[in-house]
Amino acid sequence: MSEPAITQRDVAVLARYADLPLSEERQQAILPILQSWVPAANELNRRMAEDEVRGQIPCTIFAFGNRA
Amino acid sequence: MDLQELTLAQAAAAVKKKEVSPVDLVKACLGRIEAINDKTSAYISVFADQALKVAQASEAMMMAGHDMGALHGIPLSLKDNVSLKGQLTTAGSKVLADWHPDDDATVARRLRSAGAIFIGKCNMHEFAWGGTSDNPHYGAVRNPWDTSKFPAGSSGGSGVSVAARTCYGSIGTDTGGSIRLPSAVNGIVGIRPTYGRVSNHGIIPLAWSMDTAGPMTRTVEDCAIMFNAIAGHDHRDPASAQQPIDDYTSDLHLDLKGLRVGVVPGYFFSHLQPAVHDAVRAALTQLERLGAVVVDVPIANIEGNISAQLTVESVEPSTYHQKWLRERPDDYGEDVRALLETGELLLATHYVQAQRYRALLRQEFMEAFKRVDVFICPTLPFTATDVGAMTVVIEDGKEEDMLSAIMQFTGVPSLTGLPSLNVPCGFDQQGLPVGMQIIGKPFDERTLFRVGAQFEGATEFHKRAPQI
Repeated sequence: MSEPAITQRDVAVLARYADLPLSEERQQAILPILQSWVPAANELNRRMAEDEVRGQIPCTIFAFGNRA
Repeated sequence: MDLQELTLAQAAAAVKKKEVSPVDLVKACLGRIEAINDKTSAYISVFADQALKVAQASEAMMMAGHDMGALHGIPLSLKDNVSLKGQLTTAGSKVLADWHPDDDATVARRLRSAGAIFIGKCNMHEFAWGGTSDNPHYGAVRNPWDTSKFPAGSSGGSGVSVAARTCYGSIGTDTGGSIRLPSAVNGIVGIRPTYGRVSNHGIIPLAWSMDTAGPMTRTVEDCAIMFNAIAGHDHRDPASAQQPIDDYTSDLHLDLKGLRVGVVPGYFFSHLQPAVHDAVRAALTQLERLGAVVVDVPIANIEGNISAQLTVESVEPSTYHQKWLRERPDDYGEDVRALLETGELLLATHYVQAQRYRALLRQEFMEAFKRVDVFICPTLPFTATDVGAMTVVIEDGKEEDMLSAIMQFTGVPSLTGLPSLNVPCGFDQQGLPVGMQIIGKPFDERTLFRVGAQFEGATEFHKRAPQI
């Protein structure tokens, strides 16, 4: 599945939601990182949303008792 | 006696026999630091006066029959994200350029209690968020084997401090590979412990769910000796494991007959520079000669580990740095600032799916450990590249992003919490070191040290020193 490339406008919107002041220069600086990372992260999302792993709980849960 | 060429174990034994004074060890180390630090930027702080005073006291105690322990009189360095009471602790940053903690990190306190002498704090990738140790505030750390090359990171200064014989061991930290990577490219031993095995109290965090601390040394025995001093539960670290500790030196002499070594086909030996491929393959052959059995063990979901690592390793630091990033963004180096800004913009679903993936991957490895005792792979797919490089060529002349490339193999233990040990296993045609990564079961560091020690005993890679 191909995804539309993330744009600088997308970065600006996300930064506003995150209350992170990002100048246009900073938006341009991190745009290539997001363009590289997000498709792979979305691919992992799709993998982890499949029925065969629906029951998989995250490793970030409280685990009382023995730690191993 | 060439004090610089003694291992930690040999130096410690010589101190106990009163053949060598801690003062002489410290003086030798300080001399080496003076000789190489301008060329390598390995140290941010050097405690010359204090270390000599402590060494004098250490000598007096030993002469009076008071032996503090396994590390009595041994000069060590610490990565500069490890708090040392009253000493400058910068985490390689401008943000903490004037910070003097009011207490030791637990690892530091335990090393002191075992008699160690701290000689200085080592340069590193800023806030440990990177794999090159190209530090914009304290200088780019340089590889002692070739100072035009990088030492990897983020514990690059620690790796150089050990390889260049300025100390007998160092404490590094490892989130995504930051002990193992500099150990590999500096030709030394370094261990990422089982998550929770060594306290993180008093260490500036990078990613809480993946952070560990561990020793970096010239030999496996030295690493095991230091590990004995620092492993164990710490009530001040909420993630600290209650699992009883072992004597990590107890199995170093045991042979490898019947030991089962797992290799993940289609991943562990794919996408490597030829020198790395050949060196680690030869290492597996050597282990077979020692009696080990090498077994292919597929891991169904190993692909995807790099994305998961990038997500977790960027989101968690971004939350730690939220306030500083808004109040003083210009105090960060460009690469770390960009990564912290990026981590703020990944989605919550990305983060939780990555955490679910970690649990799945861990289950697959735990199932695989019913068939093998350890896994072995290269620590990273390339040898040391140029200082300042943001890309690397691994095969087919194609340039790849450094960060993603460097974590090709170190991500598995980072994501799963498993322990892993880097051991030197060769050199490329330019004389740059190659390292192999031995991955073990939870809390089975003893077996990692056994495999590493037996391999070391049959080879000489660890004996070679950089000519700096």
